[in-house]
Amino acid sequence: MQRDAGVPAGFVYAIEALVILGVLAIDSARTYATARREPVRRTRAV
Amino acid sequence: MSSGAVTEFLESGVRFATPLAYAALGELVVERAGVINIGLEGAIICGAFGALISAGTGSVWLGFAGAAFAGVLIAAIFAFFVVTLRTDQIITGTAMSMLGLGLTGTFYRTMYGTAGASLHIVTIAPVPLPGLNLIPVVGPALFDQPVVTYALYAIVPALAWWFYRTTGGLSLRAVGEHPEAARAAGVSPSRVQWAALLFGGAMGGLSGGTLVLAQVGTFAEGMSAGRGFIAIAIVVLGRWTPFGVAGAALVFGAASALETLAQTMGWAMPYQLPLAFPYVLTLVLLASTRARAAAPGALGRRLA
Repeated sequence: MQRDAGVPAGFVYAIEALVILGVLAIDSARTYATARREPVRRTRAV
Repeated sequence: MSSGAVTEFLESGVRFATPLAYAALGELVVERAGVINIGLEGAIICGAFGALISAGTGSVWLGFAGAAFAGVLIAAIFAFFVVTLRTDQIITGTAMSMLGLGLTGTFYRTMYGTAGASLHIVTIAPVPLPGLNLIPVVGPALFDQPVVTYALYAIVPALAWWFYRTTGGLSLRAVGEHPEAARAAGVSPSRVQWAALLFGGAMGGLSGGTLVLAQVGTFAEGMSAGRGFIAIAIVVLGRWTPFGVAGAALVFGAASALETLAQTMGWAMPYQLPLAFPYVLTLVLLASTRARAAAPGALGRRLA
């Protein structure tokens, strides 16, 4: 099907890789944002 | 087996081992900093493509520079994700391998079309070292090779010296063993891992450059053929030491040279069998080795 569409297999690999990297970047940004929203726990000095 | 066949076998073994050794030594530095770069395959193929583009100028040395630059470029993307964004090393590495193979394949088709396969570029010729190349059996194998192979004779001891005799080497090993302790001692783990990854990328790129400029003389899609993964296995078998890695690379080079030996000796066997041997050897040796005990303590762990 890829050959019929005239799209080289390498191009499909590259797009898949970019999608994976995009998901990883979004996940990293989400983790960072969550960590920033968490209230800072303060311990009382004794 | 005649001594001529043995010499030819050893010569091919060293030739096949050269790109593997470049990639594995780069990966060694990366893993000593606590990062597994599964994307090494991508750096090798990008290096090969970079060599093809830069060697179009007619200079083989520009070809090697282009190869190293392409390797650094893809390693920088990997470092940004893994070190700066703290993403998973294995998933990111897999994506980098796919990206390298995909981008080079696409650009190659776009730039050179279907006639690209017949493309030939400048290559680096073997330079026999006078006197040494006359040593029986091993002389031609070790001392009748391109300059890139001779460079490895200097890189391996230099790397060993740097690892164990310098502050920079100590910092690198400290980050790979215990990044928190290294940070407490004033070393920035992120900076060390970035530097290690860029070095590893340059070496991976040079590995691809060696394939194109010292061996094949042309580029083909997917020509890295799993060498990045074999290089990772070589680091494990070499127990994370420069001399161990160089020795393991020679073993794999010899395994790859079996095809040449089979042809020379006229052995009747399917040609796929010697081609598969390096990959079978990787599995067998990894299954039998106890090298895991020597792995850096924080290998594959995300920085806190």
